[in-house]
Amino acid sequence: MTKKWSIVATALAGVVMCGALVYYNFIDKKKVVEGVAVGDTCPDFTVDTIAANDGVFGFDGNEYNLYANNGKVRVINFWATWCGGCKEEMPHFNEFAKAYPEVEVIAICGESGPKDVVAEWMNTDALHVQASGWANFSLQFGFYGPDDENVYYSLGGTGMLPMTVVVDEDGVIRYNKEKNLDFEGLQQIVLPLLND
Amino acid sequence: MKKFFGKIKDWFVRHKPSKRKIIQVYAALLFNANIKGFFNGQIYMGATKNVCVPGLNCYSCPGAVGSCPLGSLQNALAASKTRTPAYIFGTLILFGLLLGRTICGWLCPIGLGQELLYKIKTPKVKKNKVTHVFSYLKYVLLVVLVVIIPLMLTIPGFCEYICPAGTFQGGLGLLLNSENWDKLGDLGPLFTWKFTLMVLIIVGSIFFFRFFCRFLCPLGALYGFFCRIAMLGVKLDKNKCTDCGLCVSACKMDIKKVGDHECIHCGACISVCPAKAISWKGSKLLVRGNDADAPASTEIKPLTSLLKRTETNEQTVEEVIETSKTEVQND
Amino acid sequence: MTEKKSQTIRLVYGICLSVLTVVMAALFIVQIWSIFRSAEKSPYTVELVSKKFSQISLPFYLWAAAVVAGGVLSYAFPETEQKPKALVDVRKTLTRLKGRLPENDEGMVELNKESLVRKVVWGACAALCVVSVVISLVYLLDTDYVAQFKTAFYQTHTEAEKFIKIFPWIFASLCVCAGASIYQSYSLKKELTLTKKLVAESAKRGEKPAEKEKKTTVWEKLSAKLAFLGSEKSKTYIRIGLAVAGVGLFVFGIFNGGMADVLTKAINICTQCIGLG
Repeated sequence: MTKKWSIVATALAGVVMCGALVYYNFIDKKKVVEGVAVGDTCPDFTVDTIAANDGVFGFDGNEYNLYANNGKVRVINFWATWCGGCKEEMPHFNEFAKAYPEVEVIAICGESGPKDVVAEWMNTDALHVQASGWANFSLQFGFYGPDDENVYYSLGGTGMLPMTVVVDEDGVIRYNKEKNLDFEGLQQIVLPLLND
Repeated sequence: MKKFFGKIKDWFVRHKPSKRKIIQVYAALLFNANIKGFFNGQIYMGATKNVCVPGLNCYSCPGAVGSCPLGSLQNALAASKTRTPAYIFGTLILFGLLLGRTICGWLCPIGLGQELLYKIKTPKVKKNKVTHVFSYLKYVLLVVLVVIIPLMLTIPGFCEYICPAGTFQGGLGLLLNSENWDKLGDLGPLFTWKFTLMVLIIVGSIFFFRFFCRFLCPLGALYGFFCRIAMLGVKLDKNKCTDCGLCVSACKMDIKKVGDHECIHCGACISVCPAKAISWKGSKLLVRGNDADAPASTEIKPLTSLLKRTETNEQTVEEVIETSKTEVQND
Repeated sequence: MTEKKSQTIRLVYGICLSVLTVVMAALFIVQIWSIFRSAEKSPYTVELVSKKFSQISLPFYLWAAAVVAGGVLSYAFPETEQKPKALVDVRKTLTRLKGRLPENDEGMVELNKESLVRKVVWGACAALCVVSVVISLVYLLDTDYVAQFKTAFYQTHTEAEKFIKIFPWIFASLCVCAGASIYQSYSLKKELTLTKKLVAESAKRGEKPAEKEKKTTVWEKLSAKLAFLGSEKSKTYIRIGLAVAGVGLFVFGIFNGGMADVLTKAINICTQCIGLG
């Protein structure tokens, strides 16, 4: 009786292991997006924007569309409310947006819950931000949800935050990396594009 | 020639891994089944990461297919102002209730790593009063880094500043792949500190048995709270126990009694007990506990038979019975 | 090959390997710190990292070879199984022997003094622990300190300051507890030898142990009252309660968005949050 149980258990364990290895390594091939490297044309996307009315953030019903802004150099930053590194680099992006108003800078926040959570967070959060709070930021804010086809994946996100994509006037990707950037780093990447 | 092969075969037979080691390796492989992640430098992003694995396994490991319970706990507490952390509490309660610290002994990949490091043949530091006191450090880390810091500062304090699983599996696992080399530019003082700590923990695991588990792991501290009510694990039959203390002496963790909050239920004490008072609980998976008249420890149930093989040498038991007899006489 | 010679060889090898291990760890730490110190910003580059680690690759291979040699050595000079020694429960023996002493024995004064000293040591230890806990909590839960972050522009891990400041207190408390624990075992042994001597002397004098009534201490009364908590029935109730709570919370968490949250944070990892920063 016990020998039979142990054979059954071992067989089941073996099946589970083989199944897992085969599934994860051969069958599951989602979310590896091609064609978004430097030099490729950036795919279009639309995101809801979060704007500050009288210092209070909310969804104003507007959207940001990438192709609608062709003709300008665009810096797209992906961040999240719970990502310390993203929040630390946000002031640098803000300074950059202030210093170079001809560049479109949009910081798109990802959130698993309902989108109001992000706006509420921006209105109440006090950590890692400037003295005057989030409302005085010069850059635009967007939002994306957790579904499979969201903008983070379509632009080649492999799971790490923060991610920054720089797109030139013609819509060609000039920088696409999942790493932190500060003011000097942004200048190094974007200024050569402005001078073209 | 035949003798040589005979000797080799003999060595393999004597060094056959125990069932527990096999299950540990199986669990480590199953929880990190996304092997392709190590080759393409990307983490797994699919739906099985909705569920937490029972042991410590960083979700930034390219091979990880489930979420780390400790990381998820810290993130949930950090976000507790907007969402009650019910899911992770439920998960931890169920893991603790069903398995308790058998997770530490049987299912945790980091535990496996430490036991393998301990096999390196240096002189070892045996447990003593000092190590017993320092085993309470993990409760301090639990309260400060896993509860208070995420609640107050909304950052996962343990993951960010201490966890060697994150540095080893996530840090090294991701950074050693050439796809991620531009991430090197982001590294600074935090990574340097964590790498240093990881090296110290590795050296500690070579000299101390399960250095991280005993002194630093908040997950072990958390599961330790379920030690009496967990459904699986090692139990002591108080009616048969003669208080000889051989089990505590043979155990390499800082226990005071078999099955207490430090016990990882590895089963090494079972073969040492001369009165055969230690056995596995969980043979009756329903919550009917030990009846005084039911011969619980002598019944062989399917589950217990699977777990029967333990780690110490059979030969020792006879010698031990002899010595304990003489000790009792001298008393 | 005698057992003693085999033991000596194993010991010598063990010490050499330990030294090599510590040296190897020190080398790793030195290299990583030299990389960190090499530049003010973004010190880690592929070239520098590969250069620094290839510098210590030879010692590493030597260490790995030594480890493998250890495996071979343990086969050639196998270790005999160490049998575990039965522990003497000093407290129980002490209580039993004290019961054999007649009351108001002069020796009891000495024993009570020993016991008192132990209580004082543990009391001091407990006081230090309480002070550490209070200081740590005051520091950690100080919302004004947290509010300082509102005004900072760019934080470079000054959160670390929080527990760097409380850690010395925690470490000191643990060291003192360890010291008290060591003192206790030494003191108990001393008391045991003394008690044994007293019992032997009183037996020689032919004194009979007095019939002492069994005084139940407060602690024993309390544990008797709470004993029902450890009984099987209450364990069953606790298990059922926890199972219901666990499943309930789990299901609630799924609808609450907690499960999706776990997924999101596991697939969009904040690299600073795992230490790459």
